[in-house]
Amino acid sequence: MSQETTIRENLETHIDEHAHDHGHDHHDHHQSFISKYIFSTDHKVIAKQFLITGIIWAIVGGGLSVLFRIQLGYPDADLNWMRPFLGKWITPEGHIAPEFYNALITMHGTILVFFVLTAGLSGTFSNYLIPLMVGARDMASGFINMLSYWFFFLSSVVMAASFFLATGPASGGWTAYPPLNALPQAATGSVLGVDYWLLSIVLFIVSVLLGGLNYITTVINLRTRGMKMFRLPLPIWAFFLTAVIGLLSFPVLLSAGVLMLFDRNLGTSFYLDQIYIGGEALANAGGSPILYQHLFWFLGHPEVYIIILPAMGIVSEVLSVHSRKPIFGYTAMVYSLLAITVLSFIVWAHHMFVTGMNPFIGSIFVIFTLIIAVPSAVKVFNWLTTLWRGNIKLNPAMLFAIGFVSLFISGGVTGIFLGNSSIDVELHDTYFVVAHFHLVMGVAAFFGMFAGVYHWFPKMFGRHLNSTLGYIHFWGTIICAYLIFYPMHFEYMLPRRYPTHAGFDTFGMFAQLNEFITIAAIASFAFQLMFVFNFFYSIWYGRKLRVQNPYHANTLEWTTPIRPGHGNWDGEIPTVYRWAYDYSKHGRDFIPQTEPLSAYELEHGEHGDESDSDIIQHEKHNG
Amino acid sequence: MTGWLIFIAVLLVLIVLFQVTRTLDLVSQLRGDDDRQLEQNTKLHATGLFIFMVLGIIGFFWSFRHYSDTNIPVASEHGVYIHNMFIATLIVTGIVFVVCNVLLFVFVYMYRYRKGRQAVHFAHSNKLEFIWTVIPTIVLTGLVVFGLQAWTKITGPSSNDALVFEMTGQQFFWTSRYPGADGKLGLRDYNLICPENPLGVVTKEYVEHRLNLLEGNAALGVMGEIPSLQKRKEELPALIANLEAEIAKRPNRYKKEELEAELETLEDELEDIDDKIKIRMLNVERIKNKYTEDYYMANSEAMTWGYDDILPSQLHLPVNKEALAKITALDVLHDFDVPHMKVKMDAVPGMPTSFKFTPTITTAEMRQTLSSNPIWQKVKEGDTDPMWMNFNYEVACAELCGVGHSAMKYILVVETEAEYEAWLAAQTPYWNAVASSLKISGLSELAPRPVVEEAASDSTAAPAAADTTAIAINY
Repeated sequence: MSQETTIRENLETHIDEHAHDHGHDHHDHHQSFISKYIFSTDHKVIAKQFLITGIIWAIVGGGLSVLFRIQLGYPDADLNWMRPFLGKWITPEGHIAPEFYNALITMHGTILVFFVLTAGLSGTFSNYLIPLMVGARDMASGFINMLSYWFFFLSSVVMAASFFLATGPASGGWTAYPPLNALPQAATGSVLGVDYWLLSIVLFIVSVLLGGLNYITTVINLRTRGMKMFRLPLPIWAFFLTAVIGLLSFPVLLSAGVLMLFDRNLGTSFYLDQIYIGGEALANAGGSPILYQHLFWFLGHPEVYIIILPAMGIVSEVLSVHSRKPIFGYTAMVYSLLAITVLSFIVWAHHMFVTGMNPFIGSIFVIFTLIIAVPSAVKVFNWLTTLWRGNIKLNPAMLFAIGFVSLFISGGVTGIFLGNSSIDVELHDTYFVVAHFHLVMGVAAFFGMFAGVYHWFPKMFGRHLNSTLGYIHFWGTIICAYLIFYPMHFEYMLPRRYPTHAGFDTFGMFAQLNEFITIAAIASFAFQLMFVFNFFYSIWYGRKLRVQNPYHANTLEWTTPIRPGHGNWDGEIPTVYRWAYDYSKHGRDFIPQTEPLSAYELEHGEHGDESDSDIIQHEKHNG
Repeated sequence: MTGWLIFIAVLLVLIVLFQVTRTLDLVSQLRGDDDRQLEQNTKLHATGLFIFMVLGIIGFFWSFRHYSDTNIPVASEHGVYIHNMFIATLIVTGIVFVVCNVLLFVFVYMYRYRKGRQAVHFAHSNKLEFIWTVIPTIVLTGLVVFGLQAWTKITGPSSNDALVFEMTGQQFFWTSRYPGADGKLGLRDYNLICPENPLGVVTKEYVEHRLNLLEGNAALGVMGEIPSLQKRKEELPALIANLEAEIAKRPNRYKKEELEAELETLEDELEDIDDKIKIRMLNVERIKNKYTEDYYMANSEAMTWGYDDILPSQLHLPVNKEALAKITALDVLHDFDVPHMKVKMDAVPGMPTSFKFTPTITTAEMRQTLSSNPIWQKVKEGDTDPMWMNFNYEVACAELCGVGHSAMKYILVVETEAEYEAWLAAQTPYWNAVASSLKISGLSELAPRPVVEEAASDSTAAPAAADTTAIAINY
C-alpha cells in the first residue's frame, strides 16, 4: 500500500514538473504537428483520434446498410448507375449481386460492432474521461495508449483493403462461422477476404488489449488523493469494467481467429469434419464447427456488454447532471454493473440453442441469461427514479440520454423472449433478433455515444456544437430508429441474411413494410450525415466555450482549464472529498467533488438513509 | 443535367437551413438570457417527447391489429407450447415496455426545467431498490420455469414409433431421405458421395463405383478422376507455353488481354492441380482402409439398409403423427427451418442433429384456413388462382450458407395417414433408378434389390457400432 502511494506520488511529482515546464514556455511551441496530432501520447488527442476514426467507419458502415436496405426495400430498383463504383457487384440487370449482399451485411456488422461501437465508443470516452475524471495527468502509459490507437488504425487499413480484393471482402456474416468462412470454395468472400478479416481482427484485439490494460491500470493506480473507488463517477466504473471484460474475453476470440487461420492456410481441422464440397471429399476430420461458435460467443456475448456498459455509464452521468439530481442508487448501479460483468461470461451459449448443442446445457444458459435481466432492470428503474422530481434541462445531450433509456427498455424486453430457449427455436436467426439487438445494443449504444459527444464536446474542443442541429439530429434519429426497428418485430418468421424473400410464399407478405423500413433507414442515415457536418463544422467554427464549468457539474474534468494542455491541470491535481453526485443537496444546486465536506455534512453512503431524511426535510420545507 | 440541378437545389436548401439554425443559435446567445432560453427549449422538447410517447403507444397497439393477418397459424404440437410461451412473455414484457416508457416520458414532462425550482436530493432508498430487484426476479423465475418445461418437452427423446426421415443441406438445396420397407436409413459415408450417390449411402456396389470413378477402371472404360487430372497436369505446361508464344506474337491489344486472362486461368489450374490429385488420392486411401473384407463381414446386414432408401422430391408427413427429422449437412452449416411448425435446427457437417415434431394441420386444412386471410387472396404474377389455393408448407434455410442461402426452399406436404401411405407406396427406392448406371464390374447381375426381410424384423442388431466415420443414423 505504502509502496503504491510512493509510486503514485513520484509519478505525480514527475509529471507535475513536466507540466510546469511546459506550462511556462507554451508547450505547444515545442511540439511538431506530427508529435502533437499524429503520434501523440496525450490521452485527449488519442481519444479524438479514436472518435474521428470511429465516425469515418460509422459513415462507411451506415452507408453499407443503406445499400442492402435498398436491395430489401426496392428489389427491382435499377442500380446500374452504381456500376462505375461497384463494378461486377452490380448484376447485369442492375441489382445487387447476392454475394455482394452477403459482403455488405458482413462488413456492416463487423465495422459497427468492432470499429465503431467498441473502438469508437469505449476507445474515445475511456481515453478521454478516465484521466480527467479520476484526476490523473495522463494514462498510466501514454506510449502504450498511442500504440493502442495505431494498432486500431492498422486493423482499419487491413479491413479497408479487403474491400478492394478481386474476390471481395469476407461475406460469411460478422460471426465468421466455419466451414463457410474456413473453406475458400464455399463463398467468394472466403477466398481471401476472410484472411484479411481475421488479420484485421487480430490487430484489433491487440489494440483493445493495450487500451484496456491502460484503462484498468489508470483507474486502479492513478486516482487523485481522496478519489476512493466508491467516489468514482459512474462512467469510470463502466469503462473500468468494460476494460476488464475485454481483457478476459478478447484473447478467446484471438485464439478462435488464429485456429481459423490455421484451418484455412495450414490444413488443420480444428473446425472441420467430413466435408464434401465442390465435388471433393475433403481430408479434414475430427474438428467441430460448434467449437468455433463456443469460442466466438465467449467473446461475442461479453462484446455486447463491452458496447453497452460505456453507454450506460455515460448516460448515468448525463442524466444526473442535467436533471440536477444525484444518480439514484449509486451503489446499486455499481453492483449491477459488476453483476453484468460477471454474468456476461456465462450466458454466451444462448446464441447457440439450436446449433445441436446438448439441450441440457441450453437450459443452464437460459437461467443465467434471464438472471442478467435483473441487474439491467435495476438500472432502468434507477434511471427513471433519477429523473423523478428532478429539474430536467433538455439539451441535445440529455435528450439522447433519455432516448437511450427508452431504446434500452424497448430493445431489452425482447431479450426476454430470445433468452428463453423454447421461444428462441422460433425466433433464432430471424428479423426479430435483428430488431432486438439493433435497438438494445446498436441504436441504444449510439444514443449513449451521442449523449457523450454532445455533453463533452465543449470540453474536447473548447467550442459548442450547434444545438439547433443537435435537436433536429435527436428527433430525426429517435423517430427513424423506432420506425426502422419496431415494425421489424412483426417479421418474426423471416430468416435473416436473405437478399430476397420472394422465393417463399410464407415470407412474401412484407414487401411494403420492407420498403417503409428502407425509407426510414435512408432518412436516418441523412440525419447522421447532418450530425457529422455539425461535428466537424463546430470543431473549427462552433461558438466558443467561455466558462470553465458550463453545466455546473461536479466532476473533475470541469476543473481543468477550458482548453487543457497535455497534463490536464496547470497547477496541482485537485484533491477529492466527496462523490460526484451531490446535486441539489442542502439547498445548493451542485457541490463539486473538490469541495471538502462541511462540519455537519455526512458523505453519501456513510450511514443509512440520509437521502430519505433529506426528502422529508424537503417535504416539510415545501409545507 | 436535371440531376445536377436537383442536386444544386437540394444543396442550396441545406445551406439555407443551416444558416437559419446558426442564426437561431446566435440570436439566443445575443439575447443572453440563457436560463429563459433553456426553459423554453426544455418545454418545447418535453412536450415533443410527451406527444412522441402518446403516438408511440397508439402505434404500438395499432400495429398488433394491423399485422394480425401476417401471423402464420401454428401447425405443430410443440409449436403451441412455444406460442403460449411467446404470448405469456409478450404480456409480461408488454406491460414493462409500456409502463417504463410512460414513466420515462411523463417524468421528463412533469419535472422539466423551470427557473428557480430545485430538484429533490433523493440519492437512494433501500426499500425501493429491494422491491424492484425482487419483483423482476420473481417474474423471470416464472418465465424460466415455464420456458424450461416447454424446452424439455420439445427436446426430449422421441417416441419409438416416430416416423424417421432425414434432411441433408448442401449449397444450395435440401435432399430428403426416407427409410424403405426395412424401416432403416442406410449408413452414410461422405467419402462415397458421387453423382449417382448424392448422400454417400454405403453399399458394397457404391464403394466399388466410387473407387472406379476416382482411380479409373480400364476394363469398364472409366478414365477416373485421378488419372485424368494427372494427364491434364502433363498437358498443361505445353498448353501454357503455346499460349505464351501466341501472346508474344499478337500485336492487337484487345485480343491479347483475352489470351492473357486465359493464360492466368491455366496457370491457376496448374497451381491447384496437385492439391486436387492429393485430395482424391486421400479419398481413395480412406475408402480402401475402411471397406476391407473384415468390415464387410462385420456389417453385412447394415450394408443392405441403403438399397430401399427413398429420396423423394418433397417431404410428405402424415398428420398427428410424431416425426423425427435427422438433420445433416455436407458442406457448410445450414438450418432446417419450417416456420409454420416452429421447427428450427442447424445442419452441421460431421455432427448429425435431430428435431422431433408432430404436424397437426394438413396442407388441405391450412389452405382452407388461409382462404379467409386477405393476404392470401393475392394472385401472383403468371398465376390464375389466389395464393391460398396453392399454399404449401415451406422449408427454408436459417443459417447463412453462402450465395444461394435464400434459394433453399423445399416443400413439405402434410396429409392424412391414408394419403401418406398412398404417396409412400408410389415412391421407388433411389437405388432402383441409379443401379443400372453404376460403373462397376458384373453390371448385368445388378437388378433392383429386393427388401431384405430379416433386417426389418430384427431392429436390435446394430452392427454400425463398429463404424466410426460413417454417419450412422439408426437408433
